[in-house]
Amino acid sequence: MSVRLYADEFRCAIYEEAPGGGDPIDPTSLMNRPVMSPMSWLANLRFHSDLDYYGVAAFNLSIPIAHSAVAGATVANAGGISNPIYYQFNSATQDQLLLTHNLGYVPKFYAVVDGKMAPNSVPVQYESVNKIRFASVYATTTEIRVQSFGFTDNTNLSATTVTYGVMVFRTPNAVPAFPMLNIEASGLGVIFGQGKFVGSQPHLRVVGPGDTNFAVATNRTVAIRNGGFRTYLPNGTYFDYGSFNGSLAAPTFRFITAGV
Amino acid sequence: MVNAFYAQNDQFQVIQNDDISFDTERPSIELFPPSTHIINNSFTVDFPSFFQSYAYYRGNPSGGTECELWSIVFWQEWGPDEVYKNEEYYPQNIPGSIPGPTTRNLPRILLGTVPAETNHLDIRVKLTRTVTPPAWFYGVPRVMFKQGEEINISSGGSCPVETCGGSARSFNIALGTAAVGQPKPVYLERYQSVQNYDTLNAPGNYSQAAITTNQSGWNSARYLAQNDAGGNCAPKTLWMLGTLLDKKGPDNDGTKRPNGTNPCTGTLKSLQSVFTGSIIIAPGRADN
Repeated sequence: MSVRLYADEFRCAIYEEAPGGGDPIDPTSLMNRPVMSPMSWLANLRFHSDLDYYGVAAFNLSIPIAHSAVAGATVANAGGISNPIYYQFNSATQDQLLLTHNLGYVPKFYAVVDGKMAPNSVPVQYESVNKIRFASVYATTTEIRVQSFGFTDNTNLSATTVTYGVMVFRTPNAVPAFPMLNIEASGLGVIFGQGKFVGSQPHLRVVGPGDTNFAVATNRTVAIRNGGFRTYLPNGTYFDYGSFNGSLAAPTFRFITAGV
Repeated sequence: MVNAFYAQNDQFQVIQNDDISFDTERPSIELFPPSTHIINNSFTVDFPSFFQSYAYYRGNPSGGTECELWSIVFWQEWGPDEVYKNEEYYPQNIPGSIPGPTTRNLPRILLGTVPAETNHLDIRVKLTRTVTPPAWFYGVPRVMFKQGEEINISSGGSCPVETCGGSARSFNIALGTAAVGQPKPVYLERYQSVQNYDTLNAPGNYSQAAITTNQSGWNSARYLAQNDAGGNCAPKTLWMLGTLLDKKGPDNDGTKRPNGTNPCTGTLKSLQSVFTGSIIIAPGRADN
């Protein structure tokens, strides 16, 4: 079946035509059912203005962030002086700016750590099973920030610098002032679906030859057992924190890119 | 710099500044329309209290006598695939107990359904701890994500939530399976766990002291454990300290023995944690 581009004043679609033939310019013909009923013909769609996409509004894939050391725990505070139990757990948080986007709303985003798409609370520093730093990246209406959580025992967790990356995606609302379809090398450039896709804002897609890959896990990346954590990274390796002694099969990953 | 639009041999491609911006041979990650989204502005993740037992310290410093009564949190595993099981107890087992952790099922919670074609979930969560457990020996359990702001758990759906020494809590948003063509369920899965210290000794790995008669030190072997089967003596896998329930002395008022004239007393405190906020799950499709 042929792949077609269709646009009228209400919709824009790139799709593999459905069986049944008909007039290509008649939206009600059988071949154009993916245009009129996209949710029933998802497998045929390559683009449809009723759907949303991850258009990149801002990005920076190399943001060095210096994390401070976390002091080791010190005091004994149970059992008096004759039968003391030592406190051997300490933690500290830091909240730091990664990127300013100024979109005015809380956007979708993906975080990257050392070139890998990072799940939330990803380990970014590992010195032992009790000395580890997690990072939780979050979005506000103006910024993407990282809050890091350093945990340690009775010795210091070292200071470190971690290279983060961020891709920020605009909320792909249709823009009434934009055309449903525009193709020109300059000016507005390429627009599908009144801005659901804008050529100057590449969007997340599966990878092809020559693309820079990022991996997104398609299933669970964290397990807890025996009071500890196992967390998988997108390269298939994992960190154990604390007394973890269980198992978790490696998740599957989908490789994507955004052409940035 | 090349900006171009190509249409040839059933392939459409947009080039922007020499980079591929759109390509039908490299399908875009699609998100389905808002009518398919699961939105819950009262999203709650409730972690029940851990089961606990007691540990008692009695000391005899130069200033008189002293005591501390602590809860202890023993080896336990909670999750959506765990079955009901009680570990062995000391010095005698309760009926049905077997070696290993005490386990309890935390049922999956259905959040909604998404279209059958879904193989990608965009998951945005904003949560704040609204029920905070009291401080353990290691302090109040630390939250492991940014509270009150939107975080992205789309990559795998997992979210480590709390840790406090040898305890851990996490949740997961999981895409379930369904018959071909049927909507797929999306579940909240909760997990919580406490470390096995694997000893019959008292907290601090001290020998169980005869604190009701003539010794000072720690004892955790003679106090009833809390569990939903009623409790009986203490679990074999002692001794991670939970919360401080009482502390007295040192002074000359009584012996501070559990059966003495001025003992430490107290009841177990709930270690429940509850997180409340919002979740937006946008289903979509990749690899089309």
